[in-house]
Amino acid sequence: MSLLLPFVFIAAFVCAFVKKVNAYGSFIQGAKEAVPLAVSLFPFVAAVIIAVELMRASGLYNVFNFVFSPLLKLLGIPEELSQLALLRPFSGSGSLALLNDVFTAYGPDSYVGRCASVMFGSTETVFYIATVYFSGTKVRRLGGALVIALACCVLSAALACLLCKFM
Amino acid sequence: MRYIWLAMMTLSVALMAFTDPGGIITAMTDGAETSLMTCASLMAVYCVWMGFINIIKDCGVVEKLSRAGSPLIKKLFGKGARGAADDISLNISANLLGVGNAATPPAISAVKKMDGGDGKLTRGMAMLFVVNACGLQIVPATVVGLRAAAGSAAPASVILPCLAVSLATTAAGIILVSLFYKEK
Repeated sequence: MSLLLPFVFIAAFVCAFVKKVNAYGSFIQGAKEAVPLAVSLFPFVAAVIIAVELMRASGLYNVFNFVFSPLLKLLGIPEELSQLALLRPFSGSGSLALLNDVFTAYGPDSYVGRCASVMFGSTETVFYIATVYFSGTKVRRLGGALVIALACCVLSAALACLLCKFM
Repeated sequence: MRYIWLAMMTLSVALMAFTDPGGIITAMTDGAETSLMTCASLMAVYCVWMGFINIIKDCGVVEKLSRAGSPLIKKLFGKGARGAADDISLNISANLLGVGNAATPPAISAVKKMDGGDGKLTRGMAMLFVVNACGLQIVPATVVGLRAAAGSAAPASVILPCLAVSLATTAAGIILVSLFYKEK
């Protein structure tokens, strides 16, 4: 499986050679666009990260955790993982660090460790996607779509914990 | 989104006003600094992927890919997605391969192409957002890598459950978006 990406790269380079595409020029043309894109994303990324950082520093996350963990428990998500489930939609690097903490504390092959793995592997940073994807448009109200995305996120976490009971 | 953001900011600052008023600005500037680093590393990562994607585009591979996927794309994303088929198929392929960072630039471009300019969320935009939010990928490489590093006896044992769960939620997401965002 780890050979998948190298294969994709080599196939593309061979294809460029056969089709006499100027790969060097193409790469430069494409890579050039990365600069304005990253710059235009900055305010959007900053808005999310500042809010997440404030929530962490103020302890609002703990309040949040305290309020929602009984709810998550009802869905079969163990208490040890409620923090991970709650942080996952907001912060990719933050939840990755939490996943690592779970592995250190409970071991990657324990029930909690496996649940955490499946939960992390089958969800995405919804809020980050929500701001970044729409950064180029005037769309600021995601309404129902955001609710659907978050519902899917909760469903993933619940399904992950359920499925891990049987494996 | 704006209400959630406002609520997060207001509640945090209100809470900190009691516990640590001096830390408010520090937390905010720390956050901004982290985002600057994030964007800098994103620029580097996007440079690699957008350069590479452009090579595949110039080889005509993307065109073939989107032609193959176009019946499905039309069905899922609606008529508004016609011009964005290339970007959507790139986004989905990159997601499946597990390179989320390569999936973002085509997604941004696809959303722009599906935008009516009136600030309204179209069917195609909602679908692309939800499908991406469900995180469908063939191999969750990050998790498998971290499990291996943590000394797991079977780091790859979570691949199938991850796939099953994200398939289920992606299907649920697609159904919900199709129900709530009918095309006129």
